[in-house]
Amino acid sequence: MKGMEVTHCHTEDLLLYYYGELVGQRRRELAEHLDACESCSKEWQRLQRILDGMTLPTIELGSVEIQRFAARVAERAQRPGRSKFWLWGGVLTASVVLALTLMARPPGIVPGQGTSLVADAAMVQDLDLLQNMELLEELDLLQGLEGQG
Amino acid sequence: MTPQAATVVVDHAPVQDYPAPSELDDRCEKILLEQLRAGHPGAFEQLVASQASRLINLAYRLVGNRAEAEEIAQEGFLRLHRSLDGFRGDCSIASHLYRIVSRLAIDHLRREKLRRKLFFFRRQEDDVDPLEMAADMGASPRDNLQAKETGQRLLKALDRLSVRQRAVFVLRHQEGLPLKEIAAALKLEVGTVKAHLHRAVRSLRTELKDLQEDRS
Repeated sequence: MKGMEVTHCHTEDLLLYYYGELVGQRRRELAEHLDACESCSKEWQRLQRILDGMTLPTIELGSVEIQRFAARVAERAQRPGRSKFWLWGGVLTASVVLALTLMARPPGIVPGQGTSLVADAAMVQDLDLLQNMELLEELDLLQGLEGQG
Repeated sequence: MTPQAATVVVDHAPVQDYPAPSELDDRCEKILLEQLRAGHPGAFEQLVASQASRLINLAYRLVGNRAEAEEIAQEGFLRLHRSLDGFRGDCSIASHLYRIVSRLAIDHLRREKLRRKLFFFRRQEDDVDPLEMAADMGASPRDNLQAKETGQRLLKALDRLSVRQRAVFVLRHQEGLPLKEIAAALKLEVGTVKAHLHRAVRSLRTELKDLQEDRS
């Protein structure tokens, strides 16, 4: 049955063929195959029918509409491009404000560390208190033992 | 050689006309470009007027909404205007505009898809202005109606494709751009463009199966 084997067209090739994107030898070979192969020929006709029917809607613009649109775009094009200017101006202003704030701050205080130092100090105090409590308890215990003795 | 092979081979594919990307010829374009660079009053407006219809339609087919299409086309013209000094003329102004608008439309579609995902937003699908689409005066009212319905269904079906599949399909099928041009416009490999086109057509065939059956 080796001689009976038929290679059918790939849909991708049929698609490229439809859009005129298959050229030279490949195009000729496919055209020959479509002449000879009923199955591929049917698939080709189906594909052709559906693609021919796929037409997207079109907007018809009248000359007045086009002129109005063109005038609007031209007018906008003439406006100074301020968006970038304002963007850079904003960035510059923010930088200056930040720099001035940092410079005006009293020396020795590093932002962000102040609160953590306070928190650390509070924690150390708590530990000290805890240790003192333990010492007191131990002292009470010793006094109790002494009293018994 | 088989008898079949000896016969004349019929080329079954329709002749694909690649539409000229511009109504301006080379000489006119050079003059217009010089005028634009020199800041000649009216030159930019003239360019916009000559390309507006084509670009608004391109954007409309890509995004499926007229107001958004006009915004995108307008932004495309403004970008060209801003980059005129850097425009080297490797391609025509019309092709350059085509590329700008295609990319802008793709960016817009991506943002729109993300917005819909984030906010579960669905565009009103029945908000089509019947006056948007002009009737073909040569066709019967029934044909016109059918063509409009098919067009609207196709737009909805395109909405379900990925952004790139949609762009490739519209640029190849409707705008008639060769795959190489599409690859250049979308900054993709030609092989990738072919794959997107194939997947797009496969999905559309599935979506519009009933139309296919009606026609057979």
